[in-house]
Amino acid sequence: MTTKVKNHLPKNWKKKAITALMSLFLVAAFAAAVTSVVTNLASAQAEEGSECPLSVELHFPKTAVPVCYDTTTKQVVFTIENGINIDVSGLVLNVVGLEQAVSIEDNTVIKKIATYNGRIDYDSKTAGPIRLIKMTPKIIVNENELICIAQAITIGKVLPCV
Amino acid sequence: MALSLVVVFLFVASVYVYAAYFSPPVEEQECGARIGWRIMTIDNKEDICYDSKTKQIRFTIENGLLQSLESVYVKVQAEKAEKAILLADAKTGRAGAVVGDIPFDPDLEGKLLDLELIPVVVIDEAEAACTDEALRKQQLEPCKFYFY
Repeated sequence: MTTKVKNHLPKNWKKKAITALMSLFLVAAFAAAVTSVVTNLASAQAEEGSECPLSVELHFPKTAVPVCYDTTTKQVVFTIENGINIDVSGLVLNVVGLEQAVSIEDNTVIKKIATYNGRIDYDSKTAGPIRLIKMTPKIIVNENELICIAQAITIGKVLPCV
Repeated sequence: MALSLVVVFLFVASVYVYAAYFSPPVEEQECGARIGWRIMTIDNKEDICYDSKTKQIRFTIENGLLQSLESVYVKVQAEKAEKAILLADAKTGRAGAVVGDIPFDPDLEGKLLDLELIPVVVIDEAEAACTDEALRKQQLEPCKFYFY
Protein backbone atom coordinates (compact mmCIF):
# COMPACT_ATOMS: atom_id res chain seq x y z
CA MET A 1 0.00 0.00 0.00
CA THR A 2 1.49 3.28 -1.04
CA THR A 3 0.58 6.76 0.23
CA LYS A 4 0.93 9.72 -2.00
CA VAL A 5 2.34 12.74 -0.28
CA LYS A 6 0.74 15.80 -1.69
CA ASN A 7 3.08 18.70 -2.24
CA HIS A 8 1.46 21.88 -0.83
CA LEU A 9 4.26 24.21 -1.81
CA PRO A 10 3.44 26.63 -4.60
CA LYS A 11 5.34 26.37 -7.78
CA ASN A 12 7.16 29.70 -7.29
CA TRP A 13 8.23 29.09 -3.69
CA LYS A 14 11.85 29.67 -4.40
CA LYS A 15 11.19 33.28 -5.39
CA LYS A 16 12.37 35.95 -2.94
CA ALA A 17 9.72 37.43 -0.62
CA ILE A 18 10.92 40.98 -1.30
CA THR A 19 13.03 42.33 -4.05
CA ALA A 20 16.15 44.41 -3.58
CA LEU A 21 14.22 47.52 -4.57
CA MET A 22 11.49 46.79 -2.01
CA SER A 23 14.05 46.24 0.73
CA LEU A 24 15.70 49.52 -0.19
CA PHE A 25 12.36 51.30 0.14
CA LEU A 26 11.70 49.59 3.47
CA VAL A 27 15.10 50.58 4.85
CA ALA A 28 14.65 54.17 3.65
CA ALA A 29 11.17 54.39 5.20
CA PHE A 30 12.40 52.92 8.47
CA ALA A 31 15.36 55.33 8.59
CA ALA A 32 13.05 58.29 7.89
CA ALA A 33 10.66 57.23 10.65
CA VAL A 34 13.47 56.79 13.19
CA THR A 35 15.00 60.14 12.25
CA SER A 36 11.64 61.86 12.63
CA VAL A 37 11.00 60.32 16.06
CA VAL A 38 14.49 61.18 17.30
CA THR A 39 14.26 64.76 16.00
CA ASN A 40 10.86 65.28 17.59
CA LEU A 41 12.02 63.87 20.90
CA ALA A 42 15.15 66.01 20.88
CA SER A 43 13.14 69.09 20.00
CA ALA A 44 10.57 68.43 22.74
CA GLN A 45 13.38 67.81 25.21
CA ALA A 46 15.00 71.09 24.25
CA GLU A 47 11.75 73.02 24.70
CA GLU A 48 10.76 71.39 27.96
CA GLY A 49 14.03 71.05 29.74
CA SER A 50 15.55 74.20 28.33
CA GLU A 51 18.92 73.05 29.49
CA CYS A 52 21.22 75.25 27.54
CA PRO A 53 23.91 73.24 25.80
CA LEU A 54 26.45 76.06 25.92
CA SER A 55 27.76 78.21 28.71
CA VAL A 56 26.36 81.66 27.98
CA GLU A 57 28.70 83.54 30.34
CA LEU A 58 26.51 86.61 30.63
CA HIS A 59 27.99 88.86 33.33
CA PHE A 60 27.99 92.31 34.86
CA PRO A 61 31.01 94.43 33.88
CA LYS A 62 33.53 94.84 36.67
CA THR A 63 34.56 98.39 35.93
CA ALA A 64 31.40 100.44 36.48
CA VAL A 65 28.30 100.28 38.67
CA PRO A 66 26.38 97.68 36.64
CA VAL A 67 22.88 98.33 38.00
CA CYS A 68 21.29 101.39 39.56
CA TYR A 69 17.84 102.91 40.03
CA ASP A 70 17.07 106.17 38.28
CA THR A 71 14.55 107.90 40.55
CA THR A 72 13.84 110.59 37.95
CA THR A 73 12.74 108.26 35.16
CA LYS A 74 11.65 105.47 37.57
CA GLN A 75 13.76 102.95 35.74
CA VAL A 76 16.33 100.36 36.62
CA VAL A 77 19.40 101.07 34.48
CA PHE A 78 21.77 98.21 33.84
CA THR A 79 24.80 97.18 31.83
CA ILE A 80 25.69 93.59 31.03
CA GLU A 81 28.24 91.87 28.85
CA ASN A 82 27.89 88.72 26.84
CA GLY A 83 30.56 86.02 26.79
CA ILE A 84 32.38 84.61 23.78
CA ASN A 85 30.33 81.47 23.22
CA ILE A 86 26.94 82.35 21.73
CA ASP A 87 24.68 85.27 20.84
CA VAL A 88 22.00 85.94 23.45
CA SER A 89 18.60 86.27 21.76
CA GLY A 90 16.99 88.13 24.66
CA LEU A 91 16.59 88.36 28.39
CA VAL A 92 13.90 87.56 30.93
CA LEU A 93 14.22 90.40 33.43
CA ASN A 94 12.78 90.11 36.93
CA VAL A 95 12.88 92.99 39.38
CA VAL A 96 11.63 91.72 42.73
CA GLY A 97 10.40 94.41 45.07
CA LEU A 98 8.93 94.15 48.53
CA GLU A 99 5.35 94.54 47.28
CA GLN A 100 5.49 93.53 43.63
CA ALA A 101 7.72 91.92 41.05
CA VAL A 102 8.14 93.31 37.56
CA SER A 103 8.88 90.68 34.91
CA ILE A 104 9.52 91.55 31.30
CA GLU A 105 11.03 89.89 28.26
CA ASP A 106 13.58 91.99 26.41
CA ASN A 107 14.16 90.53 22.96
CA THR A 108 17.22 92.58 22.11
CA VAL A 109 19.92 90.38 20.63
CA ILE A 110 23.26 90.66 22.42
CA LYS A 111 26.08 89.50 20.18
CA LYS A 112 29.14 87.66 21.44
CA ILE A 113 31.40 89.86 23.62
CA ALA A 114 28.94 92.74 23.21
CA THR A 115 27.84 95.11 25.98
CA TYR A 116 24.17 95.92 26.44
CA ASN A 117 22.74 98.91 28.26
CA GLY A 118 19.12 98.35 29.21
CA ARG A 119 16.35 99.97 31.23
CA ILE A 120 13.37 98.49 33.05
CA ASP A 121 10.39 100.56 34.13
CA TYR A 122 9.99 100.11 37.87
CA ASP A 123 8.13 102.33 40.31
CA SER A 124 9.56 101.79 43.75
CA LYS A 125 6.67 103.72 45.30
CA THR A 126 4.18 101.04 44.32
CA ALA A 127 6.44 97.99 44.03
CA GLY A 128 8.56 98.76 47.08
CA PRO A 129 12.32 98.71 47.57
CA ILE A 130 14.19 96.41 45.19
CA ARG A 131 15.25 93.16 46.81
CA LEU A 132 16.64 91.30 43.81
CA ILE A 133 17.19 91.68 40.09
CA LYS A 134 17.48 88.50 38.08
CA MET A 135 18.43 88.44 34.41
CA THR A 136 17.98 85.17 32.57
CA PRO A 137 19.48 84.81 29.08
CA LYS A 138 17.62 83.30 26.15
CA ILE A 139 19.39 81.63 23.26
CA ILE A 140 18.30 80.06 19.99
CA VAL A 141 19.29 76.44 19.42
CA ASN A 142 17.98 74.56 16.36
CA GLU A 143 15.33 77.26 15.86
CA ASN A 144 14.08 76.71 19.43
CA GLU A 145 14.28 79.48 21.96
CA LEU A 146 15.71 78.24 25.25
CA ILE A 147 15.57 80.11 28.53
CA CYS A 148 18.82 79.38 30.33
CA ILE A 149 17.54 79.58 33.89
CA ALA A 150 20.63 77.95 35.35
CA GLN A 151 22.76 80.70 33.83
CA ALA A 152 20.81 83.63 35.18
CA ILE A 153 22.71 86.43 36.87
CA THR A 154 21.41 88.22 39.93
CA ILE A 155 22.16 91.32 41.90
CA GLY A 156 20.82 92.21 45.34
CA LYS A 157 21.13 95.75 46.62
CA VAL A 158 20.50 98.36 43.96
CA LEU A 159 21.65 101.90 44.69
CA PRO A 160 20.21 105.08 43.21
CA CYS A 161 21.97 106.27 40.05
CA VAL A 162 24.32 109.20 40.61
CA MET B 1 -47.89 73.54 38.11
CA ALA B 2 -47.19 76.27 40.66
CA LEU B 3 -45.41 73.77 42.87
CA SER B 4 -43.08 72.69 40.09
CA LEU B 5 -42.34 76.33 39.26
CA VAL B 6 -41.44 76.96 42.90
CA VAL B 7 -39.21 73.86 42.96
CA VAL B 8 -37.41 74.94 39.78
CA PHE B 9 -37.00 78.47 41.14
CA LEU B 10 -35.56 77.18 44.42
CA PHE B 11 -33.18 74.87 42.57
CA VAL B 12 -31.91 77.64 40.30
CA ALA B 13 -31.59 80.04 43.23
CA SER B 14 -29.64 77.54 45.31
CA VAL B 15 -27.28 76.77 42.41
CA TYR B 16 -26.71 80.50 41.90
CA VAL B 17 -26.05 81.13 45.60
CA TYR B 18 -23.61 78.20 45.76
CA ALA B 19 -21.80 79.31 42.62
CA ALA B 20 -21.63 82.93 43.78
CA TYR B 21 -20.67 82.48 47.40
CA PHE B 22 -19.62 78.95 48.27
CA SER B 23 -17.92 77.36 45.27
CA PRO B 24 -14.10 77.43 45.16
CA PRO B 25 -12.76 80.36 43.11
CA VAL B 26 -10.92 78.03 40.77
CA GLU B 27 -11.25 74.38 39.90
CA GLU B 28 -8.69 72.15 41.56
CA GLN B 29 -7.34 69.23 39.62
CA GLU B 30 -4.28 67.09 39.03
CA CYS B 31 -2.91 68.58 35.85
CA GLY B 32 -0.14 66.10 35.14
CA ALA B 33 1.75 68.90 33.42
CA ARG B 34 5.09 69.85 34.85
CA ILE B 35 4.96 73.55 35.69
CA GLY B 36 8.33 73.67 37.39
CA TRP B 37 7.60 76.70 39.55
CA ARG B 38 9.36 77.21 42.85
CA ILE B 39 9.83 79.59 45.72
CA MET B 40 12.49 82.06 44.63
CA THR B 41 15.81 82.01 46.42
CA ILE B 42 16.91 85.41 47.71
CA ASP B 43 20.01 85.79 49.86
CA ASN B 44 20.49 82.01 49.70
CA LYS B 45 17.11 81.35 51.33
CA GLU B 46 13.70 80.43 50.01
CA ASP B 47 11.80 83.70 50.01
CA ILE B 48 8.80 82.83 52.14
CA CYS B 49 8.37 84.21 55.62
CA TYR B 50 5.99 85.68 58.16
CA ASP B 51 6.03 89.45 58.54
CA SER B 52 4.82 90.13 62.08
CA LYS B 53 4.93 93.89 61.43
CA THR B 54 2.25 93.77 58.73
CA LYS B 55 0.76 90.42 59.86
CA GLN B 56 1.26 88.90 56.45
CA ILE B 57 2.74 85.76 54.99
CA ARG B 58 5.05 87.00 52.24
CA PHE B 59 6.53 84.95 49.42
CA THR B 60 8.14 85.26 46.01
CA ILE B 61 7.51 82.69 43.34
CA GLU B 62 9.61 82.00 40.27
CA ASN B 63 7.63 80.48 37.44
CA GLY B 64 8.90 77.56 35.38
CA LEU B 65 9.79 77.54 31.72
CA LEU B 66 6.82 75.79 30.20
CA GLN B 67 3.74 77.94 30.66
CA SER B 68 2.44 81.21 31.99
CA LEU B 69 1.16 81.45 35.54
CA GLU B 70 -2.37 82.88 35.64
CA SER B 71 -2.69 83.28 39.41
CA VAL B 72 -1.79 81.62 42.69
CA TYR B 73 -4.33 79.83 44.83
CA VAL B 74 -3.34 79.85 48.49
CA LYS B 75 -4.79 77.64 51.20
CA VAL B 76 -4.01 78.35 54.82
CA GLN B 77 -4.81 75.90 57.56
CA ALA B 78 -4.32 77.13 61.11
CA GLU B 79 -5.36 75.82 64.51
CA LYS B 80 -8.51 77.94 64.70
CA ALA B 81 -9.27 78.80 61.08
CA GLU B 82 -8.96 77.76 57.48
CA LYS B 83 -9.04 79.97 54.43
CA ALA B 84 -8.44 79.88 50.70
CA ILE B 85 -7.46 82.96 48.72
CA LEU B 86 -6.99 83.39 44.99
CA LEU B 87 -4.24 85.90 44.21
CA ALA B 88 -5.55 86.97 40.83
CA ASP B 89 -2.78 89.55 40.33
CA ALA B 90 -0.06 86.93 40.73
CA LYS B 91 0.28 86.56 37.00
CA THR B 92 3.52 86.15 35.11
CA GLY B 93 5.10 84.63 32.04
CA ARG B 94 7.69 81.91 31.63
CA ALA B 95 10.56 82.31 34.11
CA GLY B 96 8.86 85.39 35.53
CA ALA B 97 8.51 86.26 39.20
CA VAL B 98 5.55 87.21 41.38
CA VAL B 99 5.35 88.55 44.90
CA GLY B 100 2.43 87.45 47.02
CA ASP B 101 1.17 88.22 50.49
CA ILE B 102 -1.59 86.72 52.56
CA PRO B 103 -3.02 88.32 55.69
CA PHE B 104 -2.50 86.02 58.64
CA ASP B 105 -2.88 86.78 62.33
CA PRO B 106 -1.76 83.95 64.62
CA ASP B 107 -3.42 85.70 67.58
CA LEU B 108 -6.82 85.23 65.92
CA GLU B 109 -6.27 82.20 63.69
CA GLY B 110 -3.94 80.19 65.88
CA LYS B 111 -0.68 78.53 64.96
CA LEU B 112 -0.06 77.86 61.27
CA LEU B 113 -0.44 74.19 60.48
CA ASP B 114 -0.19 74.08 56.71
CA LEU B 115 0.30 76.58 53.91
CA GLU B 116 -0.32 75.43 50.37
CA LEU B 117 0.56 77.46 47.27
CA ILE B 118 -1.12 76.06 44.18
CA PRO B 119 -0.31 77.31 40.67
CA VAL B 120 -3.23 78.27 38.44
CA VAL B 121 -2.51 77.68 34.76
CA VAL B 122 -4.52 77.22 31.60
CA ILE B 123 -5.21 73.55 30.92
CA ASP B 124 -7.43 72.69 27.95
CA GLU B 125 -8.51 76.33 27.55
CA ALA B 126 -9.70 76.63 31.16
CA GLU B 127 -7.94 77.81 34.29
CA ALA B 128 -7.14 75.09 36.79
CA ALA B 129 -5.36 74.99 40.12
CA CYS B 130 -2.84 72.19 39.74
CA THR B 131 -2.76 70.43 43.11
CA ASP B 132 -0.02 68.08 41.98
CA GLU B 133 2.34 71.06 41.71
CA ALA B 134 1.47 72.58 45.09
CA LEU B 135 4.27 73.97 47.26
CA ARG B 136 3.68 73.36 50.97
CA LYS B 137 5.11 74.81 54.16
CA GLN B 138 4.27 73.90 57.71
CA GLN B 139 6.32 76.58 59.44
CA LEU B 140 7.67 79.94 58.45
CA GLU B 141 10.64 81.98 59.55
CA PRO B 142 10.16 85.63 60.49
CA CYS B 143 10.87 88.03 57.62
CA LYS B 144 14.16 89.90 57.78
CA PHE B 145 14.48 92.58 55.11
CA TYR B 146 17.59 94.74 55.00
CA PHE B 147 15.55 97.93 54.71
CA TYR B 148 13.29 97.11 57.66
